[in-house]
Amino acid sequence: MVRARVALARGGDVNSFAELVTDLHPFVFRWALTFAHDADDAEEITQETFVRMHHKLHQFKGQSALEGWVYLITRNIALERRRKSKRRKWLSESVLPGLEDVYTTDPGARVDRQRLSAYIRHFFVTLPPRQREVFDLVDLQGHEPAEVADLIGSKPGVVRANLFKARAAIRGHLMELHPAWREIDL
Amino acid sequence: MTTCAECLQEISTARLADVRPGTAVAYHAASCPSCAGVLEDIRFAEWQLATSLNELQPQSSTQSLIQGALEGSERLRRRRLARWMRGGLAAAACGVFFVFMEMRTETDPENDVITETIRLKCMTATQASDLATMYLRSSVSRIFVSDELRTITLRARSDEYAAARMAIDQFEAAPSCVSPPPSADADVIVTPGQEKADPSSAPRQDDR
Repeated sequence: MVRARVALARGGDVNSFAELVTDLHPFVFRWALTFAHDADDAEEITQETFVRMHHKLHQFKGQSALEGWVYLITRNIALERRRKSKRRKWLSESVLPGLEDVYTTDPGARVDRQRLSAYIRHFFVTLPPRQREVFDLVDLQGHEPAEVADLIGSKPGVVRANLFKARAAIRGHLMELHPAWREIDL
Repeated sequence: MTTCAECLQEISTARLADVRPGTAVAYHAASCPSCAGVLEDIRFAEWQLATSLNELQPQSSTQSLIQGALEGSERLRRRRLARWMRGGLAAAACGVFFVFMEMRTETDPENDVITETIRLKCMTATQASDLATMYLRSSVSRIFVSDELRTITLRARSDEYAAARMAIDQFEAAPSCVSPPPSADADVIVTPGQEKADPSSAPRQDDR
């Protein structure tokens, strides 16, 4: 079905291309969010992805899944944009409260979970792109590491190593914020 | 018995979905409120992150996206075409330049230069020099005069040389000239490098 649509779209059929875009739009936007600075940036990456997809549709041989091919386009565009704009100004950085405010000081040490969410978003976006990508695909989207390795054209060992580093970085920060951390005798 | 340090070490890198009841971490967390709190908060934070990312929806409509993609793709196609055309034009310009340079080399005056020494019978070398100077106008032209030997050496393009030589020959062949005509061999002293020159361009002694 998808291949037939691709073949038609390749031949210039606008309706088939429109159907492909309609199916892929949410996925591409979600993938773009992993690399983007904010939602607007993700929108731009999404738009550019479909431009390039249409332009290079004749290069898609159908030997792999269309989603995987489009994911690679999205990833390349995002990384190109990242290289072009060296700035690392993240949306979450501008609204972060002080680190010590995450947990209240009452005896129950209740967690301010809203702030905790802001922090994990901050730690997530400050990860190196490869680690962020792998962490998102495996831990947040639920793909298997071997599947991710296939998708991004990397070795499973590299994926696991990046995943390990990403988890350690994010959770290490979260643990340091937790009041119980200081009580635990390490 | 798992310690808190071991438990946290495991939590810091493990897949949280793998921390199920019955595992060492879960067993320890059940009896340790601190580790349980850490585990719960990390699980909540990651769940919250995944949810917030998954719930974000694109604001642009699919229709505008399709339209933009088609227009953008067409723009890319044109840009690519223009790049090919620019490349073609550059290659053509290079070709034209190369051909021009080749043609220019073929007509290079340096390759068309004749150098000859003429023995004079009537005129002095200075007179012959004054006469030849009128015809030798190019930058490669040279006249070497020797009054003692009564010879003049002309270095010039073949057409200039022919004109100058004709003028000199006319004066040398005048009836008032009393000196006997020397042999043809003695008339022209060929200098090294003259082999390239076209002998037909120079008038022969026999023609006079």
